[in-house]
Amino acid sequence: MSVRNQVIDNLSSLLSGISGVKKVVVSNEPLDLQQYARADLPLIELRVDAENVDYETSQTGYWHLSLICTVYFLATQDDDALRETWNEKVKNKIGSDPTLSEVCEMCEVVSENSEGEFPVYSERFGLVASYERGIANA
Amino acid sequence: MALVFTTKNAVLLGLETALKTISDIAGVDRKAIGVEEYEGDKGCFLADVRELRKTVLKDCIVVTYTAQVVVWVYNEEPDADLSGDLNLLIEEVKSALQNYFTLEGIVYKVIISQVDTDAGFEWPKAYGTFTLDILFLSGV
Repeated sequence: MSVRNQVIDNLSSLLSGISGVKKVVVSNEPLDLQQYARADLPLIELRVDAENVDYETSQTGYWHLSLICTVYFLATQDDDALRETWNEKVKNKIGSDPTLSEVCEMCEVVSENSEGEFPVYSERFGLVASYERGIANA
Repeated sequence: MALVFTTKNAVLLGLETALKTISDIAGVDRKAIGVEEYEGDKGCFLADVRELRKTVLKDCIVVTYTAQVVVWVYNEEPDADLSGDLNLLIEEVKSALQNYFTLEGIVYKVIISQVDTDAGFEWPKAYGTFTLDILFLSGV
């Protein structure tokens, strides 16, 4: 398995351990929420975004894998305290294993946005997982 | 998270309940039979309820009702200030709807999107209309 896929797998497993989360979905394009039911929420979408590499030599590079992690949850109204709770849960979880079981050097939260409208609200996190690997097996 | 799933009937009953809190109001119901059918000097009825449905989850639809509430005042006095009476009633309707913002928890919110204070004026009657957007959840 490539490092890239290991990062995605381990991150998915890590996020599924957040208390209250019912489902984690890995996708390559925006999620169609209409395919999911109320019972599936809170749901985390983990979407693979861009990949960048800083070449160190012709054979090795420092990879930056960008991912978008979105937590969808139900609420009767937009609630700052609830958003804060999800913020804290996601950041604490990623912070508890920033190397994703030593697959990458660091997985960090680089951005966050509050989105959604009644009744499905969401917190979106930009993540970057960085690792150094040979070009051939990155 | 307790989300309330509501039927159209419950919304309309909730709206009626809110409007009936106005003192001495007549004719709060869904039969748009006209002011002449009612007794009293002020009243209102629901007319022209339309709905827009948007699926957000497989089993969850956000429904927006756009409802028109016709309010009327009646005063036989020759020098009656019908427009003043109508404005008072409109303020009472606004206040009733604000107090029942979620129709006692069955809807997400009631938005007054438009108020027409001069929908019809012919002594001894004057009419006004409210356009309301009512948002609530429905199952599939």
